[in-house]
Amino acid sequence: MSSVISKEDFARLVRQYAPQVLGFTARLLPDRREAEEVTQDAFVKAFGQLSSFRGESTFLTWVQRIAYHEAIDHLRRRRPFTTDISNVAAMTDEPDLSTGREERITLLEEAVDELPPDEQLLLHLYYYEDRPLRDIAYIMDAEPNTLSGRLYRIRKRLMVMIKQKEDEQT
Amino acid sequence: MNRLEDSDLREALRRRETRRQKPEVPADFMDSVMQQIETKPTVGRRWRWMAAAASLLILIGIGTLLMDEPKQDEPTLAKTELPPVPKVSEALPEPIETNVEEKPKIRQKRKTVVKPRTPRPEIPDTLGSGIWQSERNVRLAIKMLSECEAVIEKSEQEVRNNIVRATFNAMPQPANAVLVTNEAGDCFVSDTNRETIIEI
Repeated sequence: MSSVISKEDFARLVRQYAPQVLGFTARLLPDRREAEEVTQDAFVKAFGQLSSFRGESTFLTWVQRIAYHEAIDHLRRRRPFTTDISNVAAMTDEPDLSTGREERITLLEEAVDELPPDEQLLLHLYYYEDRPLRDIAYIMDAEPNTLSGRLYRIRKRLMVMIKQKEDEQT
Repeated sequence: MNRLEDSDLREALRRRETRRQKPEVPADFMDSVMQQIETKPTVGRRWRWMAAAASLLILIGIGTLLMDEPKQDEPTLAKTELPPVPKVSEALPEPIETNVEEKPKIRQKRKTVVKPRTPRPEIPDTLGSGIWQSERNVRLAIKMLSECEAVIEKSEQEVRNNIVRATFNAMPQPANAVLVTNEAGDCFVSDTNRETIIEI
């Protein structure tokens, strides 16, 4: 496909999708420079791999998939990518929440901010962008069922975190 | 029961998104990407180089194989010739059951082929024309003649004053051989009318 799409056409695609891809990458890499660098690398890699793009997804999803792996690789090189599961391990059942809706949403915002970047991204893609689980699975190179289980665990953890915050307030 | 609802989570994410600063694409972003594309070799080009290198290696491999071909002829022949052997042996029981008359023919052939391989004592040259040094040689000759697979007609074998006398009809030695030896072990071999007489 690299021979089909000229560099001018690809430049048009970059201009069109760069903001979305950069926004996507910035969720994993809060540092602006790092996010820009990884986004650039993703587009360069995408141009090199255009022949492997067979239209199974949209061009944006395909580039986001490349950007996701670039960002994860970047994070791994920089520091070990760990997820704290201590709260989940200690949790036996979903705790009951006693707060009102408004207060709970505020606590949820705080709790989401405390999640690892890739979990924040997963929540954002699924609950905010309403992307199909199949698309997210393609981007993150995972099985939809695996992601479904992961979302369930994240929600449980969020509840534990909210409960802890509630307890701290009282 | 007050559980985490999807709507709460969506609302939290929406609010979080509104207060989040969206990153702006820098002005030189496009130029930087296109510059990297210009300078960096694409994966396709790299694959082409790798494919060319791989095909070159294959050609070299084929060349070396062709050069070594005469050396490899023997094993390949052995491989091709060996398999039929078990097939024949497996197929043998059926023909034997149907054609019983062929059995002795097969056995005779096997004997004539296998027997000459057994080591022979160095006697043939002396038998019939030479002098036998001892009775041991006579026995050796008998043994040898038996092993020669020839039909041995032992028409006469006498022991007289330590003289062994025997008449053989054997091949490849003279048809009728008489071997005689005395106490001293001296033997004489003579051939008369197809009868070899060994005298003291």
